[in-house]
Amino acid sequence: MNAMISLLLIFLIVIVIVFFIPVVRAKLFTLLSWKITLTLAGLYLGILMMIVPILYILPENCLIKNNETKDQVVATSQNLISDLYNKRVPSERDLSKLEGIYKNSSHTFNADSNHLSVNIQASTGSRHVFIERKAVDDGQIGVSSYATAQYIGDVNFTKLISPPTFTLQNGTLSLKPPGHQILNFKQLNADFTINQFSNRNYAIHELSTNFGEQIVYIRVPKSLVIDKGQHTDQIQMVDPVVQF
Amino acid sequence: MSLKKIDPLSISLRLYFYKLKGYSVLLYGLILAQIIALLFSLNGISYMSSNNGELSVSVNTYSASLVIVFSLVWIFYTAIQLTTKRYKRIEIPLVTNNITGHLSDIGFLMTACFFGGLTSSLAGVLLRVIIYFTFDRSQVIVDQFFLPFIDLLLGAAVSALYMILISAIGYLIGVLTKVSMAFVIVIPTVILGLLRVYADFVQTLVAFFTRETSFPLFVLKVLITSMLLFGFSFLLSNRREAVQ
Repeated sequence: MNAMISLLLIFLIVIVIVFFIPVVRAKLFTLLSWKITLTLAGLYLGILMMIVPILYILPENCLIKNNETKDQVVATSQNLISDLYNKRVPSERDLSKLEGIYKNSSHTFNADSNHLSVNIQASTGSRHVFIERKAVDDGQIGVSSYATAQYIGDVNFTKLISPPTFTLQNGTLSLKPPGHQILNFKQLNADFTINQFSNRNYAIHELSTNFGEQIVYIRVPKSLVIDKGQHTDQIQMVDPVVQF
Repeated sequence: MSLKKIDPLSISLRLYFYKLKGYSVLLYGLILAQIIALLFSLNGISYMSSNNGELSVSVNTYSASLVIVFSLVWIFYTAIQLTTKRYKRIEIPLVTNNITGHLSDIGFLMTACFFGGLTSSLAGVLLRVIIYFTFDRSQVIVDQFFLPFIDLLLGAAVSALYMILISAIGYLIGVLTKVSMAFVIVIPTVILGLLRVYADFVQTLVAFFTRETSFPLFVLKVLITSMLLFGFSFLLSNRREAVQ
C-alpha cells in the first residue's frame, strides 16, 4: 500500500515538473528576487540548524534500547527451552532468577472448587504449562506467565509481548492467548556519507529474529485435584529437578 | 580593447556575487528536491519482517541518504545548466572572459555544494525529530537515533565533497556538449557502454571514492579529481574575447 502511494506521489511530482514548472517558471523567477530567495534559503538552513539542539534534548528513556548482553541472554533462554522439552522443569523461584526470562503477568484466584481443570484455547505459538503443588492448602491458585528472550537484531522485545488472559470459573482455568500481535520497530541509520568512515554498514539482512516461548506457571493448593482433560501433552506437573 | 589591466580574480569575485544573485533561484530546486526526498524517506528505506503465527515483528529502516542522493542529482543538473547559453547570458552586461566566467561558475557551484551538503546532512536530524514526534516512541530503536555531533559535521563535509565531485562531472559534460552537440549522444552512449561492457572498471572507479575509509585521503581524492575535471573543462572551452 505504501509502495503504491509512493509511486503515485512520484507520478504526480513528475507531472507537476513536466507540465507545470515550465509554464510558471518565467513568472515565478521575475516575482522571486534574489533577496527573497536568499532569505528563504537562509530561513530553510536556519530552521534545520535550530532542530539540531532539539534532537539532543529529546528524552531517550522512552525509546527502545539495544541489549549488549544479547548472546548471554539468548543462550540462557535456549538452555531453558531445551530443558523444558527434556522434561527438566525448574521451580518458579528458579525461573524468575534467570536472566532474560520476563514475567509478563501474575494473577491470584480463589479456588472455587476442590478440583481444577485447565482449558487452553487454540494457539499457534509455543506455550508450556506447568502446574506445581504448594506445600499448603491456602485455597488460592497463583498463575504467572513468562516469556523467554525474544530479539530482532540487538533489540530485546520480550517485554512488549502480550500475556495470555486467564479466567477461573466453576473449577476451570481458561487460558486465552492474545490476538495476533504486531510490533513495528523503527531503526534510524546514519547516512552513507557517515557510514563510509565509521565502518558501520547496517544491512537489513543482518537483523536476525529470535522468537522465544511462553511459559505458564500455575501454583495450586496441595490437595486440589487436577484434571488435565484433553491437554495432557501440553500440561506438565512440576517436579523441580533442575538447579539453575 | 581596454587599456586598463584587468585582474581576473577580482573580476571573477564580482561575477561570482553577481551570479550568486542571478542564479539564486536555482536553490528552490535544491530545497524542493530535499523536501521531496525527506517525504519519501519517511516511508523508510528498507523493511524486514518475521512472523511466528502469534506475533509479527518488523523493522523499518530510515535514513536521510535519499536526501543526499537527490541533492547530488540536483547539483549534476545545475552544473550542466550553468554551461548553457541561457545561463551564460547573465555574463553579457559585465566585462568578462572565459576564465572569469568559469571561475565564477565554479564559485557558485562550490557555494551550492556547501549549502546542499549542510542542508542534506541536517535533513537527517529533521527526519529523526519527525519520527520521534509522529511514531510510537516505544518502538523506535535508540541506537543511531541520536546522531553524534561530530558525525553530523562529517556527514555535511562528505556530502559537500560528493556534490563538488558530481558538479565537476556535470560541468565537464556541459562543456563537452557545448564543444559539440554530438556529445549529447556520445556521452550517454559511452556511459551505458562502460556500464555494460566494462562494469568492473566502473565499479572500481566508483569504489575509488566510496570505499575510501580515510577522511583526509577521501578529501584529497575528491579535490584532485574535481580540479582535474574543472581544469579539463577550462581547456576544452574556447577562449572568448571580452564581451564588453
